Amino acid sequence: MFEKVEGIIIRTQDYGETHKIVSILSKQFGKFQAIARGAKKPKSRMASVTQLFIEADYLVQLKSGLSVLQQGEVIQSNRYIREDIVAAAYASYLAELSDKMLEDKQANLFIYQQLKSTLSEISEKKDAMTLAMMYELKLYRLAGFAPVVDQCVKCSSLDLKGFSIIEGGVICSRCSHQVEDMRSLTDTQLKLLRLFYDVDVSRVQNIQVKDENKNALRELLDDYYDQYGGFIIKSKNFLKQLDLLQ
Amino acid sequence: MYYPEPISKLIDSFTKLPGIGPKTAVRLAFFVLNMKEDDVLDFAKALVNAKRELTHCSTCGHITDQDPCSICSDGTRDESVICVVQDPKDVIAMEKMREFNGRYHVLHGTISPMDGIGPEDINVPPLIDRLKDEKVNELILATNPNVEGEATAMYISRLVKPSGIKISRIASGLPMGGDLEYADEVTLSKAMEGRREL
Repeated sequence: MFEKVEGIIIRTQDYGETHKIVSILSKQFGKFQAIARGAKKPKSRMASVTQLFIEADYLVQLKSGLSVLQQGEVIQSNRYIREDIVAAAYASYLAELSDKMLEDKQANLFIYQQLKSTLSEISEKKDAMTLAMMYELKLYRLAGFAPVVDQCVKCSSLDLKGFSIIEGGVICSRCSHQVEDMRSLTDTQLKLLRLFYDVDVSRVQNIQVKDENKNALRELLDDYYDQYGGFIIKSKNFLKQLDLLQ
Repeated sequence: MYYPEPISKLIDSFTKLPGIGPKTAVRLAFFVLNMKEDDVLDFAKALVNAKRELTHCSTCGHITDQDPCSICSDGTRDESVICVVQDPKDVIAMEKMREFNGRYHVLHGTISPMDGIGPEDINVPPLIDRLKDEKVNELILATNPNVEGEATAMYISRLVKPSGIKISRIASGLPMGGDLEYADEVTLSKAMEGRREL
């Protein structure tokens, strides 16, 4: 059955001499895989709509296994992402995270819109690291292992002081002595963590986060993911290599 | 188990080739059985020789049976221009064009964050060493115009730019014989961006 779907390419893989298999995160049907026949030929009309991070309207023959991509029309090419190595690295990280953590063919409009907005904002040269953290926390929430960020994970107090990965959330000053892996966070960092968790990426107008706060939260989320995430995210290594280059 | 061991082994060997499934492997194996013995020996020798005699050029990384390769040892070629390509097949494609007289550097892959392939995993460090040793004026980045190819080109340009060497990227846009009406906006905007004065 042919369906018209709006989606974003989150993974591509060469198949045979001229074909491609793509993973599409769609608005209507969630994530699914489809074959794009002839997409690697230079004159193929499918060549550009099967590039990573392209947002397009696709005509797909949906099947229970591998679907077949028939046509596509670009909605947003997110071109800047492909022209900037830092943006490409963060977008790859988010795409890989989505590909690994989302279930096949389970539509989730909220996550689709979050990814769409995140890629669009990265494409508008906004801070990719901050946007990545905002999207990640939404994914963690969907996957069921998001940290508690609004009140002490142990006693529900609001007098927050830091974060415990083992306890899975923020910790108040009274409980801070009871946890063995207490990480102190400044008030700004605690506030930012809550903002990243709650605020819809599409509502973000302007992002200005100091490097020290950004890096502290990045490190925290990396360690948190290592504890609870479960999937190995290959593009994370590339992000680390990129830090060395900068 | 349905076949005698020699043919069963041959079928297994054919299935190791890309794009060859079990049925095609059986068909090919039976075709080999019907070939003349001399042809089979030549075929086997060609396979072994290709594996044994071919190596990577220590200068550019292209496949060759002599080191340095015929391109690197050709004194008539312009050594001040290096064209960086993804794999040896790209060198062949460029050579077929007969318009490029510089030298090459083969990366043997591209940076692909999602596959965990970083700059250290491809032939980039030898390129940097080469730029230090040789008198290179221009580096042409001819990786494919996709996310991985662009990322690789950007990475190399960031590394090399401080040295003052001219860095250029091959043009991308409409293919020869293509139709403007059916071109998508990404291709068209690239084509417009790379337009030149006549």
